[in-house]
Amino acid sequence: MKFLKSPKFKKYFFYGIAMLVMYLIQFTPFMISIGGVYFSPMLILTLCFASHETDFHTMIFSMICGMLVDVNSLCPIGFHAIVYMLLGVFVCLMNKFYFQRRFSTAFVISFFPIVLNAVLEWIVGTKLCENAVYLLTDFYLPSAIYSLVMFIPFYALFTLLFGFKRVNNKPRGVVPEKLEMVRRKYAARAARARKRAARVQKVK
Amino acid sequence: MRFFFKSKRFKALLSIILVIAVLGGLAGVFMFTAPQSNIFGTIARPFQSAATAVSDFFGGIANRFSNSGEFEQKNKELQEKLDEANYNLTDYENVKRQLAFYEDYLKIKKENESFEFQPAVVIGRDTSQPFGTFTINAGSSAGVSLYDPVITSAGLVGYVGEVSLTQSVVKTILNPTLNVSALDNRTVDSGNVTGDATLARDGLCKITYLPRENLVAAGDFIVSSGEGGVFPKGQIIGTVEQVKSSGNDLGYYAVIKPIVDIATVDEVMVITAFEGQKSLKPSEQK
Repeated sequence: MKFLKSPKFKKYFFYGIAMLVMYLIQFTPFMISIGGVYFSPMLILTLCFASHETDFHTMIFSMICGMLVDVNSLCPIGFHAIVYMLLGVFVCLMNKFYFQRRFSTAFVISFFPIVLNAVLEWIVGTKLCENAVYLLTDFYLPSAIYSLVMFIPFYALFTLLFGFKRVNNKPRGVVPEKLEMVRRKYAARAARARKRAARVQKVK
Repeated sequence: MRFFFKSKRFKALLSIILVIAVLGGLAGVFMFTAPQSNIFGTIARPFQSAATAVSDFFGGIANRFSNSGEFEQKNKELQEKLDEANYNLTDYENVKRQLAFYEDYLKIKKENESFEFQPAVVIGRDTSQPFGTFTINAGSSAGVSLYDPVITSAGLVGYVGEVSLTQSVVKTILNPTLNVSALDNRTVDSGNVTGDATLARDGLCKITYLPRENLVAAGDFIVSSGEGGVFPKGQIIGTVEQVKSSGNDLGYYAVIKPIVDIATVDEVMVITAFEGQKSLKPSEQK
């Protein structure tokens, strides 16, 4: 019962609701198309999640999102699950080791996964049939750009709803994991220096 | 006391009572309205009206409290009757819609008695591809299997590309990886209906491998020929928009507008079995 009241459970419960809502937006006639092109709400949700959660949780969440997309598409079962998982983990690790978790970095990092997802869907969906390049330039890449544009309001919405915060309150330019590594390195160095000093004193 | 009975006041009061009594008696005997009645009635009327209104008001409140149980019961009964009427009306509309849906398929069934149908509703569309792929709510538990043709009362839509227990994904004729052996209904020129990357965005497909001497013209109906055993014979695929040369090839192809609007179709029929159906995998473009 305590677990049901815990903030963690509530957070994942609302993530589940968000997943369901985005799934409905993607596969039922709620989507607004621009020139016959649609964006990918499930991919956007995956990348927003990956920007703020740990790699393990991102893997599971992305895989579930991908499987939901697979169920309603003609791509081989597991295709989207694997692609979303890999892209989600990529974004998560990039944010973890090289950037601070904020909107601008999430937006920049998400550009590559969105475009790569579009290209992969083009390859698998068209099976490189005749005139397939026409679809890449006329449908899949515009769809990627549309997804990138829609990433902005959805990221803002999820930040508001889930209260995505900075992982730490350190000032700019300081990456928490790097800080921890540096701290451990100097702590080890200090410990070695103390041992050396103790040995020298014993000898004396 | 003696002084009161002897006083002028007592005498005046007695005379007034006498007059009233005489007038009342005469009014009673001779049937006319006594003047005192009119006088007192006029004076008392506004007070009577006010008293009646107040009495009605408090009486109504009392009535409400005392009969509230009865009113509640009546209200409940009426609400139940209303709910039942609303339910019947909704059910009626559903039945009417289903009847209209099945009437069209009855014609197809009469013409093709070997067909076994499974009705299905479109529950989702794949927007990550431009080929109109959609999901229906009939799966293997309803008897649907892979490559079963999907039609509407108007014509052919495609076939089942993926099946799960409770739903299936339909590959439409706009998909370049789907092939349907077809022929022109008027000229009997045969060809192969398939999707095209450049035409799919406009909701069109094409019939390829038309012979050089074909007589296909705009407006002709393209129907399935039944060859290969994947699609039944005679299903309308679409109408010819224009005939074009294949470029370097010696053949021709024709642009087809599908008879079914794939972007807006919401109810379909899956043909789970028909005469001549073969279980071979259909050839797909690579």
